[in-house]
Amino acid sequence: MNNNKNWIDQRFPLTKVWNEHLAEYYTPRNFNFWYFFGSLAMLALVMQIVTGIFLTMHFKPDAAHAFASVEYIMRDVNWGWLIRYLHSTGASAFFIVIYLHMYRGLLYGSYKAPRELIWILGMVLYIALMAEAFMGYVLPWGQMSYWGAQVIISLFGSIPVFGPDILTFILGDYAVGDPALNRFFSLHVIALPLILVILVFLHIVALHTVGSNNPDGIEIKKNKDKDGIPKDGIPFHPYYSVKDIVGVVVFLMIFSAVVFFAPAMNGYFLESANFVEANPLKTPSHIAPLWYLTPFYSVLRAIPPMFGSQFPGVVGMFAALLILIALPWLDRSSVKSIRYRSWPYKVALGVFVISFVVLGYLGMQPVTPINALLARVFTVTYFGFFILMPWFTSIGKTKPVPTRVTE
Amino acid sequence: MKKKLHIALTTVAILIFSFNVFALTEIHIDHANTDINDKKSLQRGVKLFMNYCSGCHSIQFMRYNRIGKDLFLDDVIVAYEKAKVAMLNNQPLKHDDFMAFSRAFDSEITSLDQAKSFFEKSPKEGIKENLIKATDKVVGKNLIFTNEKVGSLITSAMSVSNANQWFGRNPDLSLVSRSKGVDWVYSYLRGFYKDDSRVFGVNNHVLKNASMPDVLWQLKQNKSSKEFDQDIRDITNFLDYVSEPAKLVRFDLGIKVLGFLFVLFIFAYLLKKEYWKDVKYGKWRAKD
Amino acid sequence: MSEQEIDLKKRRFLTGATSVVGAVGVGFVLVPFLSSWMPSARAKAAGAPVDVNISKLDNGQLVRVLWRKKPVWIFKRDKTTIENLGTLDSVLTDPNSNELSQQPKYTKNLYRSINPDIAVIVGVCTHLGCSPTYRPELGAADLGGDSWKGGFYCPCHGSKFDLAGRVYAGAPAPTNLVIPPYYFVADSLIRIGIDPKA
Repeated sequence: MNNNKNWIDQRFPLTKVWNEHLAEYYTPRNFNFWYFFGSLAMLALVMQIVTGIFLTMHFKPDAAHAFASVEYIMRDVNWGWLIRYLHSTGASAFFIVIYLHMYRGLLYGSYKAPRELIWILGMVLYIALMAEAFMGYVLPWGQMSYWGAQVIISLFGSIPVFGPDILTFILGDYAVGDPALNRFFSLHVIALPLILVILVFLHIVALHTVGSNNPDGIEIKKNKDKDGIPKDGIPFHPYYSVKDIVGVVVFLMIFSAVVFFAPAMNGYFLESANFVEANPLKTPSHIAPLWYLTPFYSVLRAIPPMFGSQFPGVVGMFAALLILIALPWLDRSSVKSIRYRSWPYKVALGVFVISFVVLGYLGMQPVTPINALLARVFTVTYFGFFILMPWFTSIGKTKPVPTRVTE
Repeated sequence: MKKKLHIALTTVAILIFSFNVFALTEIHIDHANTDINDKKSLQRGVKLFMNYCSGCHSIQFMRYNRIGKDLFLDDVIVAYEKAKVAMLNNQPLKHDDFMAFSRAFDSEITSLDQAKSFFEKSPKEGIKENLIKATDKVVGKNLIFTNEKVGSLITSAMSVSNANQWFGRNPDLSLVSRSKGVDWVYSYLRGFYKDDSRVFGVNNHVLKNASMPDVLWQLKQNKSSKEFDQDIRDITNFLDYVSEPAKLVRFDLGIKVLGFLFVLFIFAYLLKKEYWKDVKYGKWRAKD
Repeated sequence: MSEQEIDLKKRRFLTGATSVVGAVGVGFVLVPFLSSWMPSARAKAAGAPVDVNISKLDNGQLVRVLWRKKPVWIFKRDKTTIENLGTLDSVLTDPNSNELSQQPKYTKNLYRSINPDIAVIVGVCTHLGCSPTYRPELGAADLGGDSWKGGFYCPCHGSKFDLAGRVYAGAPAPTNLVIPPYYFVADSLIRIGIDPKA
């Protein structure tokens, strides 16, 4: 055993990697509930890749056969229904986990120096994940797949001057059809997963370089004992590995409950209109993207066409997404954690969360005058959170930050 | 602070929801009250479907033998188990018992001794296979009105092309209860009323100007309204099963999975608690 | 309480227990994934028994049908061919079909068939899966001249089989060709893929 280890260590830094990233990677001892979601996101990624590999074995990326091949998986393939539900529920679970993971960043200022790069990598991951999920949703080739793709891709058509050409380029045809399905399939099963895995790797390398933040927003590396070990740190393994296992099991329990008892989640995870095969002649009476994209879809709809173009809405939608990247530089506060922040930040964060959730809800609803008005109000508050951030993070009295983490 | 936030959130949510509730359409939808675990209802449902619906509508993703295995195999197995118990206890065998043995051993069985000798030399797996085969035969005899094989997909006599579907004629019903919901299917089937202005002399409350005749009118005439509703409930239940055959197994499996995860949770939680004693008492560096 | 000793035994037990239960869980998870590779309902339906009408089959003529995506040969042997089958024992690996997995019980005979004149054989070489060529002509020069009593020759690695699908000694193929389960529904109708009734 030891001999084998030596043999490998002379050729590959196995022990070194193990120690640096697990056994001697010192993590703040005061992690709370919010710190489960990093490892859970990793679990979700692995689950999606494994179930995806198996679905790919039975799926046919062909407009004439895609819909039937999904039903073939649901009925004829042994256990195919379970693998498919794991994948479809996994997509939503992935986003729930990612949203909570990001919210943790907002709560405890995890994006602030020196962790700006971790945040940026995470945001790129998030955007890549949205693209991955969107393309995955097109594959079953139901009515929602088809018309969702039609609407989202049409957005590119609104780009001034080059729009129509870009649209044709993306589709490889004059409307969503077999070429689009085929290229989305390729991007969904190879290109984007590869990018996601690489980004996750970089995200973790960056994290392990600066070390984890914590609910107190204290840099534990500033307070080391005579051996050079942070006084408030504990080795990730075994302490957080055993803790994360508990988190994983609880997550799996909730996840399984959805998979087995409500895989369609009342239309939120699998939309009922998507059980009708794509039909280019008939749009379903109500179409909406899946829930994890709806906040941005709401922003899109909230911004009225200007100069006869939908383009401002498209810009607004992407701006809503990209502005998150600027967060580390918009936040002027001297403290990281919500625990020691001034009251204006707490209020602003509350307003932001409400805006995001309401926009998400509105994105699933049909447009009515009142909904349109609400969407505009909350789009303004959404952007207000970012634009006013330099101001509200520099006013108000912050609480003194302790030198050591609290229990 | 938190409480205020909570109130604000709830108020906003209620406001938005209430605006949307009023926007709902005026079509009246009844509750189907189907029970996917009611095998008898599903069995009646498939028979009604095959008699009244399958002429024009396909369920193109479903196979005949799948229906046999999901809805009828259990009965065939139960009958055999009953016959076996009777045989082992030397009770007199009834006609049904001989039928069950004939199926299990794939041979004509007419006497107790015959059954016993077959029973002794038949391997368990062989019996299971024979019972599946016998179920296939039952399905072939009772549900297949065409010359299809028992493993075939259930296409209809009036074949459905995509073009047909797009124009709203004779849609395939494999997924109708997932796309429309069971309540819609139930209400639609109950929703026919006389309207001489229409081609078939009927119209529908749920789907205005539906271009489908009221194929169930005979049932409606000859049965009490309660019996008729039950017939429709059975068809709806069957269509619910057809739209997702896995529904028959996933609930039971889910409970087992959750049970297993709970056991894993207990060990994982105790393990975490044990290790975290180090952190709690400030001696994590004590290693073995 | 704060000076509690670390209970190593308890830790080892809990680590072991969690690992074992976790490993069992992984085992459970493997089941659906692995069984998704087994034939689906569609493959099984497509692999259902196949009926072949042999009323128009002449002596020496061979027809090929697909059963479970494999070629199955049905051919008619004339009297000479049937007689020749008895003269080949010395050059065959398994003349008496003792390898039981290669044919159903009811075809374990000299002809490896239910009726001596009608042969039903899975046309897949038992070496590496190629489909051998039908070479019924007696004394073919390239297949050993006078000693060749007709049979099958595998183009991939040169295995030879006689007209009952029995492998010649010295060929790379280890066993006789497989006989599928089949029975006569009627005199001239064969159903391949299912055993006759006991």
